[in-house]
Amino acid sequence: MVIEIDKEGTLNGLADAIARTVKVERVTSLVILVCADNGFTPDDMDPLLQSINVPLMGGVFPNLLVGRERLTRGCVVWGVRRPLSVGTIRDISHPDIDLELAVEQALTPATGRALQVILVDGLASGIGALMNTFHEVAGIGSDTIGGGAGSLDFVQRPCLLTNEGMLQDAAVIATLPGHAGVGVAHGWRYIQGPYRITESDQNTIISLDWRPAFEVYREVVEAHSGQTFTDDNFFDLAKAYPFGLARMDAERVVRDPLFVRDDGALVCVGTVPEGDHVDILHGDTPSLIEAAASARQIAEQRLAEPLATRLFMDCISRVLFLGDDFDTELASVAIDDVPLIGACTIGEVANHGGDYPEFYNKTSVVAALPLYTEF
Amino acid sequence: MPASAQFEMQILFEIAMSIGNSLDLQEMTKAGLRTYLRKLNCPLGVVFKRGEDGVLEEIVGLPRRAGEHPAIEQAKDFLRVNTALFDKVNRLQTEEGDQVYTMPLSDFGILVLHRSDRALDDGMVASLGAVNNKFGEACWACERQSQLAEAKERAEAADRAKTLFLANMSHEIRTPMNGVLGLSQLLLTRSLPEREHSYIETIAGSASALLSVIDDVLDMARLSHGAVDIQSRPTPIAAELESVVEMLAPVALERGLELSCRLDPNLPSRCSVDIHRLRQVLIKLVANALKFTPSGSVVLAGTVAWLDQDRAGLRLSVSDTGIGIGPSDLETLFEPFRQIDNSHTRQQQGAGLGLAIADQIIGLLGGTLSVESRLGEGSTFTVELPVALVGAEQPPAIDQASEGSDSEFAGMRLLVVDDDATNRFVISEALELLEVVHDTACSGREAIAAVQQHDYHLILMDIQMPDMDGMMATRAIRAMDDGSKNAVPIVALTAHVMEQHRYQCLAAGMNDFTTKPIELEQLQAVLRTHLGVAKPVSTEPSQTVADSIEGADWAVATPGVPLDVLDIDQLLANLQHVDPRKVLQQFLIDLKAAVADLDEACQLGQVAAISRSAKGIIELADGLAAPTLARQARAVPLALTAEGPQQVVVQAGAVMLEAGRVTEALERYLAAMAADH
Repeated sequence: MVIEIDKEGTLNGLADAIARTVKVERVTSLVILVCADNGFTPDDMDPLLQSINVPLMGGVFPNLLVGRERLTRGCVVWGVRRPLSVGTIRDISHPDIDLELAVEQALTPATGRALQVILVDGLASGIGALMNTFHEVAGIGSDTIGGGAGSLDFVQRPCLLTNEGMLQDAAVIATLPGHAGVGVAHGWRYIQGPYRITESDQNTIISLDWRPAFEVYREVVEAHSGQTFTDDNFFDLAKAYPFGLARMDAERVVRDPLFVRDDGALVCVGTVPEGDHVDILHGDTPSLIEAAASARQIAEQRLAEPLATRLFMDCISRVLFLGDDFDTELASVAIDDVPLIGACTIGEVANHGGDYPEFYNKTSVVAALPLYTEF
Repeated sequence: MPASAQFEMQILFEIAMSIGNSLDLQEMTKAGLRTYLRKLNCPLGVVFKRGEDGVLEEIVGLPRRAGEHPAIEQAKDFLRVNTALFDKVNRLQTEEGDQVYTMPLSDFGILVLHRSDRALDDGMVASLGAVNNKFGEACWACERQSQLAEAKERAEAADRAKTLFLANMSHEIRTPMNGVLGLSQLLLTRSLPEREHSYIETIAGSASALLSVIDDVLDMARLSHGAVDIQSRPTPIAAELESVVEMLAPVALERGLELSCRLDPNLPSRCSVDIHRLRQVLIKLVANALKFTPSGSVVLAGTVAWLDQDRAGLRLSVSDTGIGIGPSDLETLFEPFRQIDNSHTRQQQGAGLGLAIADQIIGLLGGTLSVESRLGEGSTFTVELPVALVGAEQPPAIDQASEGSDSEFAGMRLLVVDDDATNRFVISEALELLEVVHDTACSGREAIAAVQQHDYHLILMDIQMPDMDGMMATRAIRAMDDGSKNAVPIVALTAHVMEQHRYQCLAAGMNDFTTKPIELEQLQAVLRTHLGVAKPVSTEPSQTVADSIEGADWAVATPGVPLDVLDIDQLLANLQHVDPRKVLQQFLIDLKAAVADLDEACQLGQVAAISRSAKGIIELADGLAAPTLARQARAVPLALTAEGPQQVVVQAGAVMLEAGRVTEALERYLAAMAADH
């Protein structure tokens, strides 16, 4: 596996890492992960990205993961030795977009088993519809891993890297031939619910049981935590109390409330369908770390081949929740010398072909890549 | 309730709530199936409809091509063999150990779900039964909706075809009828042996009766389509009422009845009313009264029921001393397609639609028609009609050219344009009788040539002619530079009787519209109207737009409408005396329909259909005074010959773009008019 790292987080450092990678024999495409704190803008990045003459995909994330190290600045360049087919979908939240057509055009049909890597603008409101369309068009023959790009200030800006430059409100899909094992787990547990989502708008819960969503949420969280919401502590408290959407025989799909609007609506990461029910969840350090380890185990069991590399997409809110204990979570996935790269994301994408694909929050997603595929 | 049971209830509720939110089968089943998959964590599912022969027809599958998945094929094979199990929930296991469920959706079809690894809980599967039934019923509801929509579309298409058929038949019948009726009337003016005279009278009477039946059937068709337009204009109401009585006096005389007109001296001198329609009703009522009165009298009375500053309520009644109407027949008297079930109708001629037509027309005029009658004691039909009062107008200018002549039309010269030799002959003969000097032309081109050579006081113009039709010829005449030629009154004389033809004629620049076959009196009236007000053929300036709009000033400020998109002044000038609102609304509908046709033709790549649609848009654009649109549309057929089919589609795109601008301008103008009036 060809991995080049720049820990300075400078444009020159990234350019050098890219140059080193493409020189390596049989590297045909690139996956580029960049820390948000590098502060790269389209003005900086676009000329560099447009000068790269091999297919690439990438994103800007709050943190990056390399082995047992979490980077807050820097870049990771992965030189892929398999032909990477990359497609881009722009304006995924635009009401007039024909998503079926856009996904069809972006997706390269896999002739056999394949790993689909999806990076999406984590703050886009159209992610739910994109995932439904992706399932409809791509089918169930492939494994999927990916995540939401963006930064922790939750300001939507260009965060996806393509050969055309940096993009916002978009998704990048790459298809790698061969199979992989994918595991998903989060460790958040039920404390109260269910509440019916009586009004929502894409990623915003407007009311629960016909009451303003924050009113309901506040009652439960304040009672459970013994703390009080103030004007400036919403996320600090809410990061420990996500919502959970019910599914049969599977962990709940977690929705992370990001902030409260003036009208009492809660803006989340990912779609919250009207008519669904949500529970309010809570987690503790052991349950979350156990879940990350479980995701790795499931991925490796599903691979059933000698392991070459781990891809780890872990939610940034787990970092915020676990604090220093996140190192333990990372160590529970990077358990040996097998190379690991990944990112701390704003929402995670995963499917091993046997579940209905979802856009997760606050979840650990691990893909185990086999040795023989020479990724 | 145990937590697991509550969890299942929650999931069932969410699935149930996602079902039936659309009446489109594809959309509804897709949304429902997606929730099944998401909530039951299934990667794959298909909804099948069960055909009458038991064959499964895929309605929707998620993801795409799910129906081809081996697990789904396995389920279909299972049901093909085990038809008795169709109505049961079946769980099959694939070679990979996955679960496949077949679940009946009421009696609509089945739902097949593929689930990896674990089977669903038995209790959950049982509880899903009620939700599945709801899904099936929702599928049926969509199917029924679709069938109803198709049936409605078929019915509407049949209705449109019927209207078109009526219009065409009307034209086809009226053209030969013009010959029969016109020539028989001319023959009646000659000295013929008594027997032959009697034969001709019978021919004329039969033709006239047949024409009356045709008119009734067409009127009923138009009324049922809402295709009758009301065009009010200042009218001397008392004179019109008297003229109805005068017109039918010979009939009364023939039947030995007294027919009189009693008018309230307080009747307004002029009021705004669609006199064409009101006369139609009054003639029907008086003719009916004469028909059903064996002896005695018929009276047409006009009084004022109420009066205020600018409006009045007219009460017009037709009373007879006839056979009267029984109470049971009174209840259904005004219903269309109902005839009084006694021998009177059958003793008399007619389609029995007259009163239904009269009632509907009076309703359109904003009034009411009622009847009081007792068997054997006669009947009184009363029209209550609110009208707007209008000030007295200047009497029409007396044409100096006619003074001192034996004929009222002396010194006038007319042009008769008709491609049909019989029609030309009939009208020529009638004009000879009226001592009117006239020329004839067989086509639009000949008419233009004639107008270039001579100055005419009036042109009677046929519409449908080969070579160049009457509307194109009219536009060409109106476009002439010579003011003595381009202002000549042009009256459409056509067998087309549908309302839209009236609009088209007026929009093309004609002054009036009358239908063939034209009777001698009708022709005389047309000549009096248009020659009486026509300015002598001289160099007087042509009318201004404001002058040409009588009764109401429809010119309203519509800022932001460029002249090249819609020339409002020219448009109003085209429409002459007509209230433009309904006409423009009709134009708007026609333009949108024409653009939709053009769009469809483009999408299908049908070049011939594109050209046809563009031709329709040219006519509309000319009528609307939309010069850019007309130019763009004319470029479509040119593009075909000059640059080939691909460029035709490009040019059609430009036409649709410009049509959008015209539509927007028209809508803005209509809104401005609505606000102003």
